[in-house]
Amino acid sequence: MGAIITYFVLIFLEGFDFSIIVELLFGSPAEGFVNLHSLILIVGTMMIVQIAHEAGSFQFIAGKLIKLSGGKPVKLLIIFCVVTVFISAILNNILTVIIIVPLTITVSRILNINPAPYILTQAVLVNIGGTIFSISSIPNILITTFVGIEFLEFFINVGLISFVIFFFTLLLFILIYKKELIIPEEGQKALKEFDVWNVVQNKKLLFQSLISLIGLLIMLTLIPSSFITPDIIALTTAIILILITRLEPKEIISKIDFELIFYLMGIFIIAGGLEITGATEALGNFILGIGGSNIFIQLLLVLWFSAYLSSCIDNIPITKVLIPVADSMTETASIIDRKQIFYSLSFGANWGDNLTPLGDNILVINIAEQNKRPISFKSFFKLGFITTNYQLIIISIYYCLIFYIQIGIIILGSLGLIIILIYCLHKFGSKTIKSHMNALSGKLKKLIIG
Amino acid sequence: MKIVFKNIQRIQNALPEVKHIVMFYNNGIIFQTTFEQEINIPKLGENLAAILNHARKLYDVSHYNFDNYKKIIFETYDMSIIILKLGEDSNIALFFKKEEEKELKLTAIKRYITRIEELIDMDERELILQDILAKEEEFKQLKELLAEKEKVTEELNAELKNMEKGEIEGDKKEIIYKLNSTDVECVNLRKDLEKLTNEIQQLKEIIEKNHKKE
Repeated sequence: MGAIITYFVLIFLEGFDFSIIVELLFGSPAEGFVNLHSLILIVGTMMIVQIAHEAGSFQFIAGKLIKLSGGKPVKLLIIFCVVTVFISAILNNILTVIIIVPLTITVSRILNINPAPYILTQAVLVNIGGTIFSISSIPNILITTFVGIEFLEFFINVGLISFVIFFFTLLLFILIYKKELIIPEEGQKALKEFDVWNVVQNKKLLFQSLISLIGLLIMLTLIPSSFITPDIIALTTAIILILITRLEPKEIISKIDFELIFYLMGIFIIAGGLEITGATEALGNFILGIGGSNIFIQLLLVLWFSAYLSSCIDNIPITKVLIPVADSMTETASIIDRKQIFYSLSFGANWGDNLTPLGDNILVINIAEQNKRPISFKSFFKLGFITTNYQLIIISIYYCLIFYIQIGIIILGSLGLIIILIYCLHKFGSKTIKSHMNALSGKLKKLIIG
Repeated sequence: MKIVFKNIQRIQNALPEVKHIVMFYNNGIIFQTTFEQEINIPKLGENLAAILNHARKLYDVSHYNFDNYKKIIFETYDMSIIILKLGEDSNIALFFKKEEEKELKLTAIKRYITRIEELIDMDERELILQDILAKEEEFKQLKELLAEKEKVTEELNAELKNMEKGEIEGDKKEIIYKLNSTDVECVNLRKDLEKLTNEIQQLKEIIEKNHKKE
């Protein structure tokens, strides 16, 4: 609807030629048809992951890793979290949730446990998986295609940092849920009997699709985009996979999410319309007015602003609107600083989704409800809000370390000292102190998960 | 030691006409099956779950209640299928060849089915019971803590009284400060205990309500 309104405004009120709509949809020749490249990359990766999903690849890997836990509670939590991040690094958030949540609930039935802690942590971590690779989420594809960031470059500057944030988030979850997670021994034995091969359609297709996925990631890493663009690599890999698996192309094409493609095209028109009419430039100038030319302040503003905006509105339109804003903010910045702003946008746009249970997170609540394991809105909101702010604070400290190393070291040092002090008091403190600390930690835990 | 698979073996021994068994959940995931990997096992699970889903829709459209379905039977000349409800979300499908007019003796395998259900499924009632047990344990711990704090309050009051009588010397202000903070802790503990009592009561009411529905 927004795209249609934009069309009418641009053609009839602003007096543009129809060619402007084509330019907004696919990008201009001067921009190198950036939007068209994004669309082809999305279609290519969708085809490969659809085949892998049909083969049961992700369910199989998840099942195998879950069985490795032997049903030990904390190990199971770690494995569920790792599997979620891994799958969401390849698939979109919705498909990840559709695969992992029912599997979690089924495993919980076998183990005779409450799946809520596992589902809640997965729902929060799905968005971290979205910042591992440049193809892990649509905001990343839009950003990297626009700025011309290579696959490996994105992984080093965003993906690796996401792994560090994942580690700290996992620590937080273990701290919160350690005492709540108890698994009966009989459940652990029953888990051993769960035959993971039952999720695989056929073994040959499983291996073919996994090899293609790994091949795609290797090619995207090694082949520079100036030689072959990522979208051509993805589409070629998809076509080769369809040919060697002898699957019906019609069947695979019918499963492509065309609704998402059309949604994206609509977003391109709306965002493009806002750019042409000067709205995004005004927003960029507003943000510049707050932060000035200080790159550190700009990074923080983009990070927190995009995070909180994407908590209220879908992160795809937010990213599309903020790309030209970030572009106008960094007109005079160095290439490194410019790219940092866009990395910051990737963090904020992807992770902000967890600040509220709206958007994709509603799907988690629905699936849990359908499987007779309801999760309350309130518990989702509390964990998501607190964890996301915790993650954004860690990233902010990281930026502080890059730009103001002394201040960053002071902050890190202070945090380290506080953690050591808490540990010493907990281990060696008097009974009164320990009792006060336990009461305080109990209250904090209740605040987050109670 | 194979637990669940042992029970599948026992079912096949008790009913030799059963050729294949599939234990599956309502979301289509198959826990175990005697079918070999040559057939599309995920598709088998999906289709079995779809049968239950369609049957549910059929009942809904005709304004009948499907919730406590017991079994669904498909009978053909060649191979018949019985789908039996195991637990809240689990089912077992038996593929069998019917010989002559003999009926499949399900009573012979009832105890194995019950055992499988206990091992691979946990209904909502059990989940709520687990929650109640956890809260009762927390209640017990808080009550012990409250008893400790009340004892401390008593001791501090006695100490203060003795100080006022001049029997002992000490820092009156410190005692009063400790008394006040212990009082506050006791009040908070009592509030927490009341909250827990209400939560346990609510959970028990949910179980009661669900039991009446059944």
